Amino acid sequence: MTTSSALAVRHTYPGVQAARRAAVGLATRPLLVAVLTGITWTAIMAVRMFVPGPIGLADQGDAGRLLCGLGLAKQYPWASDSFFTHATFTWVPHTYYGETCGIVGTGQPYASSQLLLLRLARLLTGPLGLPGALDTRALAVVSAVIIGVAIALFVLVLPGALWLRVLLSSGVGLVVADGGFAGYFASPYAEPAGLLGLLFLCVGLLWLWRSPAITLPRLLLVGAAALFTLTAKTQMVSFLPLIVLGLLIRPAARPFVPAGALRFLATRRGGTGPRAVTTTVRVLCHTLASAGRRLPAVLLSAALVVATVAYLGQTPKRVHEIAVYDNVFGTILVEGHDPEQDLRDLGASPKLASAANSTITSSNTAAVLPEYREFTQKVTQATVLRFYARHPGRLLRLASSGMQGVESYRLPGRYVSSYPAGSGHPKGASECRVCALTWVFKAFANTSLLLIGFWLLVLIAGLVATVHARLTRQERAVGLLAVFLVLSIWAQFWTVLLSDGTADLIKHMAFVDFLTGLCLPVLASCLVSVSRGLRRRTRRAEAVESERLDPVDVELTLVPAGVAAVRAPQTGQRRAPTPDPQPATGDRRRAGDSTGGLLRLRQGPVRVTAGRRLDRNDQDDLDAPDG
Amino acid sequence: MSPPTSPRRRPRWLGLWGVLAAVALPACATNPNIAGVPSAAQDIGTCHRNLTLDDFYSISDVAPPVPCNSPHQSETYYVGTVTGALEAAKQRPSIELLFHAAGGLCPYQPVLRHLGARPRDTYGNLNPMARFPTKKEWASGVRVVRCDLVPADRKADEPPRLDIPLRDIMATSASARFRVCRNGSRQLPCSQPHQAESVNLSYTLPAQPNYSDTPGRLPVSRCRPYVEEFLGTSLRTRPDLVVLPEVTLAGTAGGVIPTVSCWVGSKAGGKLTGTLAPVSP
Repeated sequence: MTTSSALAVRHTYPGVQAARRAAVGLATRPLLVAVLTGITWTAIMAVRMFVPGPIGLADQGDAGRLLCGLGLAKQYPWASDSFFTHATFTWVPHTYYGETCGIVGTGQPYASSQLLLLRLARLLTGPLGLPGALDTRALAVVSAVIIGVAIALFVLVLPGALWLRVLLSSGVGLVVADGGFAGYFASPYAEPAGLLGLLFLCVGLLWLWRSPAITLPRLLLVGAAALFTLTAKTQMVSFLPLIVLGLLIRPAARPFVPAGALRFLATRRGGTGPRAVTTTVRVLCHTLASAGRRLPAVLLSAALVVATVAYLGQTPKRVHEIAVYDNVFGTILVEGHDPEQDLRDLGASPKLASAANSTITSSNTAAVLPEYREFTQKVTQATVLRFYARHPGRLLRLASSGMQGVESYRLPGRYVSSYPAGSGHPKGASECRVCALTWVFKAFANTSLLLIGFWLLVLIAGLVATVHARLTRQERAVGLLAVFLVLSIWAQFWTVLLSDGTADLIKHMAFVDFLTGLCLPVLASCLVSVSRGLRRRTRRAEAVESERLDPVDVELTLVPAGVAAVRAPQTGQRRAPTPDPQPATGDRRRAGDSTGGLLRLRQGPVRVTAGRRLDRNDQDDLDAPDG
Repeated sequence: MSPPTSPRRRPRWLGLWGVLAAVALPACATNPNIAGVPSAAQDIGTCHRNLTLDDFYSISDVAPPVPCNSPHQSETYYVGTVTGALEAAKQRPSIELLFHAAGGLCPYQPVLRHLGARPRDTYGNLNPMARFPTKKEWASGVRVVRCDLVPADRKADEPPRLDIPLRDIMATSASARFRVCRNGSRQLPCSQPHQAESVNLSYTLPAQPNYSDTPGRLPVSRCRPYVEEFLGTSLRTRPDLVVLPEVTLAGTAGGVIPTVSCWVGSKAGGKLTGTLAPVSP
């Protein structure tokens, strides 16, 4: 802003001046903007969940096994047509005897990190004046607050101008608030833990990857979010390998071995033995030295693996039995043309073919046939995987069914309704108060190639952003996140299909849909970052070619250390100058000369214009290539 | 650079594990199931309250019984033993197998005995439901099967409900809810308005090549003694009542086989409510 412009501003209305100062002040306070954005989205979530009336999701049968673990039973009508067609919110205390609480017939309650959120909601139910021991509307309030926190953190960790970060974070908010997911946050399902866990996992990974080395707080956030996500539902195990890779990408700020040992390892030359031994020992020492810096991540990864294995291990056998049953009788036999041959290929009796297209509780279930006992002993998840390995063509058919499940996106209202009884809405109605992502998925409906193309686009954009030489570390982090999202989508997609088949497919593909939705703002961020990188490259090229720097206005900006950073606008270069307070008399060197790293102010009048205080993000930009 | 094992760094890493534990531990499901009455100690005549769908349809039920004159959902009429191939299984068979076998393990005759039914009394609006031992009990060798009676009718949005014991209910007027009556050919409980009440007798006539269902040709006289046995008195003392047989036909190669079931109803043709059996109020 030139002096003349400054004079012009001084003569405008005081209110405008105050507003400009407030806006400038706000723009220089990212934390404040992030908090305001988070509070706004908490309010938006609360309004969309409760205005004009509460919404949720009806229970299709999975709710009891989770909430009975808290000693609760639902208070809902017994009429079968109300079971699915209305959402119910109230859960009352109940005494369970024998094995009535748990996955049917096992007496083992369903474990999930969702229980943490449900316990919080239970504490809030009374103070909010809601009925019962737990009201899932309190869960909606808890979720709204958590979503607001996540959005605020997104504002802080995304790269770019503050307004852009707010916009992209709001894009994330639109995904979470969409009718395809919002109902879960007032429901008794375990999905909310997975959705919220993935949100914080994305935030944590961005924060982790934007730093040159991992630190304890970053590791803390990623580890906690990962553990929360992985223990939400058994199908979340698909994210574990990618989380481990994401943890190991960056080394620790400080090694986890004594410094002296590290130096020793790094400088060992292997002694005076044979050359091969010498080389091997040297490589081993360097590897150990390098591994020492990744030891915290390795330890955390190991802990996550152990926790996930333990979580999966305590899943009752009945769950695996039902999953294998649905995969075989509900998917393989249905999609094949010869059920008897398929059963033979699986090592089971072909007499079970009569149960094709049945569930384990159907009237024509295979579970009552004499051959079923042998089936349960011979056919496991591994058997199913081997079947597909021997029949790779069947994977295409399976994938096609899976894509239909992804593109369907919304659970049909006749299956699980959004509204409670007495809301004035017809039975089986689905809400759509926020429907941006719903409209996007309508475009994907029945066009699998379009959706696959979108995923590939996000992957390519992410890869480009990750390796682009002119991008800052923060921008590359977003590229890495894009790659993580797409690979996670594919991992989750195949995990669902190969473990449960097409049973309850739309609900099981909820996380694929959610991550696809998150791809939209992440893709936008990648594209912005890549275009900025291209502009930097162009400016760099111009600076290299330019031999003359016309004396121009110099912007003087103070950095926190109090050292002046000087920018010559023509070249776009910014350097923290080495002080040279004694320019030689008569020295006519121009501003912008960079002899030996010194930026000399020219002798004579220099117009110093207003600048702004650099914050941490700008400091990172100073560290960027050519920055 | 301070070594990583210094006292200052150790609490920070402990904090990491502490936070992870804080996330993981609440996710662990606590098992709220408590021990109740062992399946082997189940008794005939006990009444059971199952207010949730999960409890109601559970394969086992060890909840303590409740007084039969308080609201409840089922009453035990028979306690038997699992036999056959299922008995030999060391681990409890699947729920589907057990439910499939339940029909053969819960006999019909004990129902009539428990209800206090006379030879001319039949029952309806009651379904048998089997309960088996828990997995742990089965593994310890328990093979008891408990057979309960559950009302088939219920109000919308409420579980099925009993407020009185079913034992010897046929001797009381409350039995009307569980007796079989009909309107036209539609069967319903006698507690609802009806045209005729069953006397629990049917017989089959020989196949007739040229059968005609003219009412006058129906063998009413064969029903009369059974109707009187049901009423506990002669029809002459009940001029308001009349025998109302119902004929169902089954077509065969040799002709039509009529099956006659005996009913009693109002001679005037009006609707009745309650039972015509001689019961106490």
